[in-house]
Amino acid sequence: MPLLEVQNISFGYGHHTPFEVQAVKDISFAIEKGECVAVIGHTGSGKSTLMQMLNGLLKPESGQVLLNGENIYQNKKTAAKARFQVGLCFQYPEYQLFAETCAEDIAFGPKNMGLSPEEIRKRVLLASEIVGLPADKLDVSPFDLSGGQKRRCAIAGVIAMQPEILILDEPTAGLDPAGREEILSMIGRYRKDRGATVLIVTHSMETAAAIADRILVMNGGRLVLSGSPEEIFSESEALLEMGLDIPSFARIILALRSRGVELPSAYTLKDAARVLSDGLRGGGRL
Amino acid sequence: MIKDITIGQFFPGNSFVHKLDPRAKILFLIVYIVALFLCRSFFSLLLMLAFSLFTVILSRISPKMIWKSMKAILVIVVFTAVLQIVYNDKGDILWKPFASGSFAVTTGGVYGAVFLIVRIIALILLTSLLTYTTSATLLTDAIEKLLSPLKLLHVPVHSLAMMMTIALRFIPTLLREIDIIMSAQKARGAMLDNGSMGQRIKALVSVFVPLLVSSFRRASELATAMECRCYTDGANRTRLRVMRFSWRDAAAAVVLIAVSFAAVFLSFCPISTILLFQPVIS
Amino acid sequence: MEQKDLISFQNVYYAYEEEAEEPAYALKNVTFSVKEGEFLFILGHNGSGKSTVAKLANGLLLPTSGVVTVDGADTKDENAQMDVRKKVGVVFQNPDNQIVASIVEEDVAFGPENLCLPREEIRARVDEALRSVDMTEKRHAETYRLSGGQKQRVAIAGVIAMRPKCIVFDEPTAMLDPKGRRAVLHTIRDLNTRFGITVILITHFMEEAAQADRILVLNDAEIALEGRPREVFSEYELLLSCGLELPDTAKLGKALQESGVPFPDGILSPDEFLEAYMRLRKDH
Repeated sequence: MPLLEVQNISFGYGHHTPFEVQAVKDISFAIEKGECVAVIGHTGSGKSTLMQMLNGLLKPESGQVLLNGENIYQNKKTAAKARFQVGLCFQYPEYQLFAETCAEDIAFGPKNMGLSPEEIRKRVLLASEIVGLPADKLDVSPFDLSGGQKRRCAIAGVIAMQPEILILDEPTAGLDPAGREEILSMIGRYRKDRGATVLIVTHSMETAAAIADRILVMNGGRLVLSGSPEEIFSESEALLEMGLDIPSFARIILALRSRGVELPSAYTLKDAARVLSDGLRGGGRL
Repeated sequence: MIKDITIGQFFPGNSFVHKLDPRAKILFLIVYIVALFLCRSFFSLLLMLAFSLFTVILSRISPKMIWKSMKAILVIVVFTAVLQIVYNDKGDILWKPFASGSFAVTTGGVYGAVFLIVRIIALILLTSLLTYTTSATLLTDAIEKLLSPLKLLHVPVHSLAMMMTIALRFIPTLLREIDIIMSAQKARGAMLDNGSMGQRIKALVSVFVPLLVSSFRRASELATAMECRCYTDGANRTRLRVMRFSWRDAAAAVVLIAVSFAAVFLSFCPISTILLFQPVIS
Repeated sequence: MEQKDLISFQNVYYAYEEEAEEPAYALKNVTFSVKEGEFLFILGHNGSGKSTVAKLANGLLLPTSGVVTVDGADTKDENAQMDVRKKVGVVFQNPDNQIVASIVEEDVAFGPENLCLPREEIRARVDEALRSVDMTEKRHAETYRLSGGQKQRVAIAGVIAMRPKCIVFDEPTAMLDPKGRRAVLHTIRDLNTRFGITVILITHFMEEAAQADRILVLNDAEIALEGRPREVFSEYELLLSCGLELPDTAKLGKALQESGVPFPDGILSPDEFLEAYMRLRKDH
C-alpha cells in the first residue's frame, strides 16, 4: 500500500465570478514510503492548490486523498490529524516565523500536537540538528538570523512535527548558490538518515534532477507527465512548451545528439561529464 | 474563504455605468442615498429599488456577483430587521408569544422590518455597483477632486488620496498574504479553525506577527521604490487621466433627479395612501 | 570609440549604524565605473553588499565616505538629486512592493506624473514603455492579477517611462519562475541593445551573467573580482569562496577536464561548448 494516494482530486476558485479558475483537475498519483517525488509546473499550474489538499488544509471538491489507505477528509478530526502526518512547508517559510526565539518557533507545531514538554524539547533539538541550525541560535530571535538560517529554522518547525511525509514548496527560492546547495544537501541527508518520504514542489528542473526519484509535471491544473527524471527530461520539447526548462546538462546532451553524436541521456553534472568523456573515448571507433 | 470576498473589487467593462465620470458617480450615489432615506412609503422605496436594479442591468455585471456581495451583509440586514420587529410596538398586535410582559409582534414592527430590508438592499446595490464599475485609482482621483476645495483649509487632500490609492492597491496583496500565513500556520497545527475561543485567539498571534513584519517590509520597500520614481510630496503632480463630464453624466443626472424627486414627492403625497401603502415611519 | 563614464564609484564606503563604535560596512573601498551603453553584472552572495550599490547609484543612499557621480554630478549635491534619480532608475526584486497603482497603465504613469509632464507626453511615454516590455495588451489589467513576470515587466515599464539613461536591476528575477525569468531577461537585454540603455544587473544567477559585457564580483562588502565573463569565470576557486558557482556549461567543461579530457578553458555559452566538443571528437 502506498503511503499517500491521491485519487481523482479536483478543486476550483472563484466559482460564479468572471475570474473562475479550475486550479486542479482530476489528478491521481501515489507516493511510496521513502520516495522523493518532485512536482513541477510553472506558477499557476495548480501546484500550490494540490499541495494544500494533501495535508488536510483544503478539501478537494471531488476525489479522495488516502494516507496509509485512510481518507484524510473522512471527518474534521482526521483532517486535523493529517496536518501533522503530512508536514507542509510553504514557499518563503521564513515569512511565517513569529515566536520570540527560534526554539519556540520550532516548538509551535509539536506544542499544537499536545506533546509533553520533554518530548517537545527533544524534537526541537533533533529538528534543528537535521536542518543544521547551530544550537546557540535556538535562544535567539528568529528575526536576527541570516536569510539562509531563517529558512532552515522555518523548515525545522515542520520537521519537528515528525511528519510521515514532508512537503516542501520551492525550498530554495530566493537563495544564493551556496544557500541553495545547503538546503538541497540538507534534504538529501534527512532522507538518507531517516528514510524519510519527501515531496518537493518546484519550478526548477535542476532541483528536481538533483534529488528526485520521480517527477510529476503539472500544467493547467492537470498532471501531464509522470516518470523517472530520465523519462521526463527526454520530453524536452513538451516541457519547453509548458514554459518549463530542462536541466542545462540534459540540454547540451540533446543538442549533441541532434548533431548526430550518439550519447546516452544524462541530466546531472556527474552523469553528463561521464557520458561526454566516454563519448570522446569511444569516438574513435565510430 | 478570503479569496471569495468581492466587495471593493473592480470588474473592468465598457458599459454605460462604467463610462460615467467617477466624480459624477460619487455625487449620484450621495443624492441617491439621501433620497433613499427621505423615502417614507413603500411605493417610493420600490421606485428607488427599481431604479437601482435598472442600473445594475445597465452595468452588465453578473447578478450572481451582486448576490454574493449581498450575502456578506445579509447577517446585518436580518439582525436589524429582527431588532425592528422586537422593539417596534406601533400598530396592531399580530402575535404575543409570552402571556406576561409587554413583548409582542406588531404590524408596525413587521412593516418597519420589511421597509428596512428593502432600503438596505437598495443601498447596497448601488454602493457595491460604484466599486464594481470604477477602478480604485479613478475612485481616489475622483474623491481627491471632489475634496480639493478643502486644500484651502490646508487639508493634505493629495496625501490622503495617495494613501487611499496605496491602501486599495495593497488590499488584495495583503488578503492573499493573510491567506498564505493562515494556511502555513494551520499546517503547523495552529488552531485557527478549530479549538476553543482562547486557543483561537492565541493562534492568531502566529498570524498577526508575520503579517505585521511583512507589512512593514512592504511599506519600506514601496517607499524606496516611490522615491526612486521621483515621488516627492506630489502636490503638483500631473495626471495621465483627465476626468471629463460627458452627455452620459448629464443624462444619468436627469434620470436620477427625476426618480429621486418622484420618490420623495410620493412619500408625502396622498397617492401612496390611496394605493394602501401606508407611511410607517413617522 | 571612447565612451564616457555614466556612473562612477570612487573609494566608496557605506556603513550601517555610522554612530556605532565599530560600524558594519555594507561596502568597503569600492571603486568602479559604468560606461554609457554598457551591460554590467554585479554578482555576489546574499549580504555581500550588492543591493547597497543599487541604492547608492541613484542617490537614495549617500556614501559614508568616497564619491558617487552620475553623469558628472555628485550624488551628494542636493540640487542634482532629482536629476540623478531621473537618469538612474531602479527595479527591485519584489514586483509586488514597487507597484503603486491598481491598474497597469496608471502605475506606469506614476513616474512621469511625478515629473509633472503634460498629459499628452505622459500618454506617449506610457504607451511606448508598455510596448517596449511587451505589455500593451494588459494596459487596463489590474496589477494584482498579473503573473510575477508580468508584474516585473510593468515595474520595468514604470522606470522606462521616466526615460532614464541607466537602469539598475536588483535581483529582478529572484522571485520568478523560469518562464517569467526568461521574459524579464529578454526585456532587459532588449533595453540595452535596442534602446541603448545602460544596464547594471545585480544577480546571483550565474547563467544570466555569461552574457555580460563586464562582471563585478562582490564579496563581504569588497570587490573581489572584475573583468569580462571569460576572465571572471576562469577564477573558479575564488568564485566558490565568494559563495558563487560557475554557469552550468563551465561546470561541465571543468568536470570534463577533471576526468582527463583536454577540454579548453573559458567556455561559457552552450554553442561554444558544442563547437569545442565537436572539435575534440574530430581530433580523437
